[in-house]
Amino acid sequence: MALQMTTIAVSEFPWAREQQALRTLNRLAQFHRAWSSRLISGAIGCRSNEAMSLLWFLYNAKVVNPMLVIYHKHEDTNSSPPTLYRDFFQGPPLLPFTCDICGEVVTNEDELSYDLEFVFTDKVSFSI
Amino acid sequence: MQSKEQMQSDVLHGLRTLHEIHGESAVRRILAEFMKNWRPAQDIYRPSPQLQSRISDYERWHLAVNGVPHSERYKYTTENVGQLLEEITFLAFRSIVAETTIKAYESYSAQLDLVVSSTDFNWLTFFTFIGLDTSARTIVVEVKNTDGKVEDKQFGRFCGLLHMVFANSAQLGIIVSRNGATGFPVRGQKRRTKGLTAAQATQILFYAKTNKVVVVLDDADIRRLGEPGMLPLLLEAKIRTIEEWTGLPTKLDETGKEMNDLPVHLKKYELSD
Repeated sequence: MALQMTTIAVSEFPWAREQQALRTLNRLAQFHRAWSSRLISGAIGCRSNEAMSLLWFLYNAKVVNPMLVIYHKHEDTNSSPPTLYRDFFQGPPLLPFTCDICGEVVTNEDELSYDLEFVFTDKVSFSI
Repeated sequence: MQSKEQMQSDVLHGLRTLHEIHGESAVRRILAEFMKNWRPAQDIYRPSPQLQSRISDYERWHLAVNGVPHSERYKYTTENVGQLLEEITFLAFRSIVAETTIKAYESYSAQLDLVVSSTDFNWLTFFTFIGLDTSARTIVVEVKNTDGKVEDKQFGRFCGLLHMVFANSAQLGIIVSRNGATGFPVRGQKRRTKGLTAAQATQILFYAKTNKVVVVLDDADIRRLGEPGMLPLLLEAKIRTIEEWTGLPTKLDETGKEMNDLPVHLKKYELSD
């Protein structure tokens, strides 16, 4: 099913009112289906909390779903694929569980790290 | 990639910013969903060194007077434990990560109560965490320094105050009492308490009738207030227990009675903030 196009007005976010910021947001929306606060703050130059506030604003507008990306940290490598991917509001996984990547049983919270991604459910364009 | 604590903290910072831009209605539902399975207690309550120091004083006081009759205590300690408990309570509420207003309120029985309120985002977070409706966000706290348990009559008087004077603004009352209140299960007791009696019966009936909650923080709870996240965790657990049983900046109270400035032993912490 084709995604709908929804226009989101971001005029209440002072850092997004600049034409350059608006162009960047629209460009990001074309190429990234999953946004994180790091992606936005890095592209726009705003602060992380400002980027996070926009993402929750998009959630209220029902155009994104927050997803929790869970990584099992391994000693031999700095970058592993996610071991779990789930609805953010489900919270962190209950321990212990078996890591799909390495097959080891994860028993300690310290073995995990997280990312929060907001996945678009609609095509979005931004305006002021 | 980040730790769970960093993620929780980032989410709360983002929601705070959204609250500033779009107001409370934009964050209320998200906060409620967030609190269900994430437990950011340590982002909500960070005990200050002053609080931890006074809790240590309380533990020292306990050791000094253990088994000593009330009339003999002056020989072993110069600590005024009544004021000490008030200071610990005050500092505990100051350790909630929110811009709170704390006023002293002298009720009809000349009992000093603390009235804590705020319009801050973090106060909304605190209330959401402990599982209370966010429409009435004042907390009334009474500190009882007695060697016995708080009796049903005293408990009922506090419920009356909450019901009559803070009818629309407060839905949570807290009694801080070293020895707890009558009718509550005793820690470590072997037999399970089945019936409701005394102050605990009043607590449950009062909740059923008014939807207002009065909880008791006792000696063991007081000692734990120095741990990060502990106050909201204790309150949430105690409120849930009650629910399971039943299935202004406040210069003026709701009757227009003026609230007093804080007494000197509490005011000093305001000045040092």
